[in-house]
This record gives sequence, structure tokens and C-alpha cells, in this order.
Amino acid sequence: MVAVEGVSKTFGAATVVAEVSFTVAHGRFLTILGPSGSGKTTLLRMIAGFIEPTRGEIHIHGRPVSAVPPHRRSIGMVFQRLALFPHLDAWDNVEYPLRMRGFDAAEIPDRVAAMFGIVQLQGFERRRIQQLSGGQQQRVAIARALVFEPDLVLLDEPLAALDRKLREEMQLEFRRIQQELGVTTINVTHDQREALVMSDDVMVMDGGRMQQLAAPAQTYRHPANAFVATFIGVTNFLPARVASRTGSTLRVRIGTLETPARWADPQAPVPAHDAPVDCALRAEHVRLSPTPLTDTDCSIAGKVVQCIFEGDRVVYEVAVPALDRAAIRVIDRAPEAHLLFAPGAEVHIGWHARDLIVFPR
Amino acid sequence: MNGARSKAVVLWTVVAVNLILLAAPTLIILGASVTTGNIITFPPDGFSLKWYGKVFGSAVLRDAFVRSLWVSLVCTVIAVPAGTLAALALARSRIRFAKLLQLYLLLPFTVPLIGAGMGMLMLFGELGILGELWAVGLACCVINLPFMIWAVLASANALDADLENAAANCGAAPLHAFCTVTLPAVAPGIITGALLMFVLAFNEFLVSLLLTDANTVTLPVSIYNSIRNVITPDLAAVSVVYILVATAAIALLDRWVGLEIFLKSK
Repeated sequence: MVAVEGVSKTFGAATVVAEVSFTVAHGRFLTILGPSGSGKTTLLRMIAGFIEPTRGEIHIHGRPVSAVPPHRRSIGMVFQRLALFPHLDAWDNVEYPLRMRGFDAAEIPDRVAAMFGIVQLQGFERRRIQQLSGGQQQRVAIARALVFEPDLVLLDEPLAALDRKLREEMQLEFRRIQQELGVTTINVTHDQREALVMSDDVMVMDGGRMQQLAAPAQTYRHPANAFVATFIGVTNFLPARVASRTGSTLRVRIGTLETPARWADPQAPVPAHDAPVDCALRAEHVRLSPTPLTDTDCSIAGKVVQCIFEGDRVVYEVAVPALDRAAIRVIDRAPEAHLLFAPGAEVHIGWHARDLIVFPR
Repeated sequence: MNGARSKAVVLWTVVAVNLILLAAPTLIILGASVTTGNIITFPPDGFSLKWYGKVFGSAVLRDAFVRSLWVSLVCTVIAVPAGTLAALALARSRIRFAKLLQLYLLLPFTVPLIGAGMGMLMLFGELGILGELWAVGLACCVINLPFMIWAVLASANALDADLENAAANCGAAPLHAFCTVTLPAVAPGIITGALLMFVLAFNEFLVSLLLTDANTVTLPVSIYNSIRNVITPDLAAVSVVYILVATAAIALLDRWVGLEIFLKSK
């Protein structure tokens, strides 16, 4: 188990990580998701021991580790550019941590061989690192990080450099290995898809602060704040004002449209009448039709500005005069069932009140 | 003539001229060294290896050769740790004034050799080590150290910045990580630099001329002294020996680390 308690890091006047606290239970897979500069890599390096926190403490298996140098922490890490040892072949790379950590020489060959089996790299043991493909190098790096059965594995965006197909393959592959070995893992990425696909929990970071920590589906469906809503998924952001509220029903005014909406955090107090708020509307929650919509909570007219056919979906941009001429992005996930709307086409868009999420400004 | 064809003709002409110019001195010396006559001529007068016999029989040249080897060895032994550590510091650590330091370390290139030689002549005289053979090796090391640093830098810059972190992660303590990961990873650069330093010291003339006396004369200085009297074909034979040493160094380099390292510096 890993517990991060009030950890901050400042470099001179700049605060890179601010007051971050969270725990990862044994065997869980946590992804720290954030844009570059959000402090996620700094946080990971503090856990690894390469950077010392300015404030706060990190516990691994119940023990505080501030005073423990990286080579005495039981942490395996897969680095961004892998950092495989160029002068050693694949086998010696995987064997290295076992020798350094004083494993019984008699059992080392079996452990290394078993690891090559787990990452499915049999037959490549004696290849030099430069002779391996990108995906094979990934597997060596994963094997090196896991072979000594560490308490914790850290992934520092190791998949970012791979092409998309291989990256998606390795995501599933690592998830399989992680579950097979039941090793606690913290992954860092800026790729929202990777975070949603691989993790038990997703922690969204921005500006050095933790924005939300929840299960992937929860972060997607119930973003805690405006940042999470924009960062995950394709989201339209509309400035609005509170029009009225009665009990749990909230109505907002966007441009000239007044429409029901959902208050993001039921626990937080709803703002006063006419208070400025932000509304988030996911592109795939917007319906598109040649005629006015009747089964949604609102329907307004617009004009298609752009239409991008992506095979499994069509992405539209629709200019809506009623919403201060805002360009609304719409994702149609079943294009074969619909017409394709060309730029210039007059359309109607609409959505359900539950999909229009209102955040305080 | 069409464009592609004329381009090829121009290109090949330039390449051919370059190759001839580069190889000509070597070929001429090689030819001159096997002459049967008593003066250096090209093309040679017949073929004989008598001048090689004379070179290998000459105690003066043989002693100078051994002294040159010793000087090169001293130079290399000092340059390898000094240059390697300096290069690693420049490449890996975030040090203040790194650029300035780099400039300072490359300073020996900008000072004319004769100036450096004079400086060392005075300094060594003051220290009372003038006339020592190892001091010549030290001098060769000082003036050529940038080559060592460059060679290791080329290797070190190509390394992943996280390499030592990865070693720490695997459980290696800092010194252990340095010995088992960092040093072997830059070994190609170290070997390259060491061979360069050896060959450069073996060939070094100007500074050695100032720092040696009759008892410590090195091979290049010894050849120079002979030229001042009369140019005989045995000097051509010595030059060929030189060329062979350099060729051997390059062959070793290619065998151990491959010549690509010269083509992919930062």
C-alpha cells in the first residue's frame, strides 16, 4: 500500500506539486492523468525517491520513505525513454536488479526465464537492446521493473513514444501482466484514453493540484470540476447564468436559451440567481437531427460549419445563433444510421438536462 | 549531357581528386621508403627493404621509438580518468557555468601550440620536472585533452538521462551504479578517446621539441633532428612505421567500438 500525505514540491518560487494526498491499496492500478506541466511526473519521481518532497511524507507499506534512498526502496520503474542498459543484452538487463538486490544466485536464472515468459519475449534473451523493436524494448523494461517482485511499480509514460496501434496493444498487455502478478502500480500519462482503459482509479492533476480521484467511469460521467470535464472527453464549454432553481431542479440561461441542467456537485451549495456558471456538454451527448427534436430536454436550430468523417464516428461543428453563435462540437457515433450533414446544412441539436453539467465559476 | 549525368560526373571528379590528395603523401612516402638509392626520390629507384633494416638497426631511432611509446602511455593513463570524469560532469550534472566550463576545457585548442609549449617549458622548469620523460606525456595530455572530452561527451550525450536512476531503481548504490552502468555505457567513447590520445601523443612534435633534451628525445623530434642534417630514405621508412601504428589504432577502434561513433556526435 502506498500513502501520499500532503506532499508538496517547490522549485524556487514555483510550486510544482501542491498538497497532494492519496492512497493506493495493495494490487490496485492508479493512473495520474494530467497535461504536461501538471506536476504528475514530479510526483512520481518523489515516490521513486529521485526528488525529495519540500513538504509532506510518502509511506510505502506503512513505512515513511523520506530518508530512504531510491536504491533501498522496493520500487520497479519503467522510464519514459525506458533507460535500458545499452551495454547489456536483454537477459542481463532483466538479471541486473536481481544481482544488485542480492538474490540467491541459484534461483536467478529461473526467475529471469520466468519473467521472459510473462512478457512473452522468449527467444530474444540474448539480443542486444538496439536489435530489439520498440515493443520488445518495452517488454524488457517491464520485465526489469517487475522481476524482483517490488512492492510498487511506477510507469513514467513509457508508452507515449509508441505508435497508436502498438500503444493500445501494450496498454492491455501491461494490464494483463499487472493483474497476473497483482502488483500495486502507479502510472503517469497525459493520454486520457490510456487512463480510462488501464486503471482501477484515475487521479486527475492540474497546476500541481489533485482535481479528482475516482474510478474511470466516475471521472468520465461525473467530473468533479470544469477542468476534469474539459480534459477527459470532447467537451463543449458554455458560459451561462443561473436562471432559476427549485429544489434539485436547476435552470440556466445560455445566450437566449433557457434550459434545465444538472448541478455538478449535489453536496455543494447551488449559486444564487443570475450567478455566472460554466456548463459542460459532452460532444457525444448532443443529438443532431434535420427536424426539431422532441425527445430531448431542448432543441435549437443551428448550421453545420464542419463535418469530419472518422469512420466509426462523425465529428461536427455546429454554429448555434441562440447560444451567442457558439460552435458546438457534436460526435455522432452511429453515422451509418444517419444522414451525413454537409457544411452549410440547417440542423437541430438537443440534449438531456442530465448531460448539461453546471460548475461554479 | 543531361542534369543527373553531369551532376554525377562533377561529384565523382571531386571525390576522386579528394581521394588522390588524401592518399598522395602516404603513397609517396611508402614508395620512397623502398628505394635502393641513397636519397629520397619518387618514383623510387628499384625496390629494397634495406632502409627498414637500417631503421630497426638504429639504436637512436629505436630508443626514441620506445620513449615515444612511454610518453603516449603516460598521456593516455592521465587523460582517460581526467577526460572521462570531466565529460560525464559536463553531460550529466546540472552545474552552474557549464558552458563556461566547457569553453575552459576546450581552451587548449585555441592557444597556439608554441605558446602552450613555452608556458609549459617555464612551468616545468620552475617545478624542476623539465627533462623528465613523464612530464612530456603530461604536456601531451594537457594540449590534447579536448579530444578525450569530446569523444566521451559524444557517448554520454547519447545516453538516457535516467540511466543512473534506472540503476538505483534496480537496487544499485550510487558508486556501484556508476561502475556497472555509467562507465560501461560510455565505454565506446572512452576507448575512442584513449586511442586518439595515444596516437596524438605518439605523433606530438612541437611541444615535445621544447620539452625534450638529448636524453629524452621522442621519435618525431628525433626525425626532425635527422632531417636538419640530410634527408635520407630511412626517414621515409620511419614515417611508414608511423602510418602503420596509426592504421593499427584505427583498426582496433573499428574492431572494438565501430567507427560510427565518429559520425554520430552531438
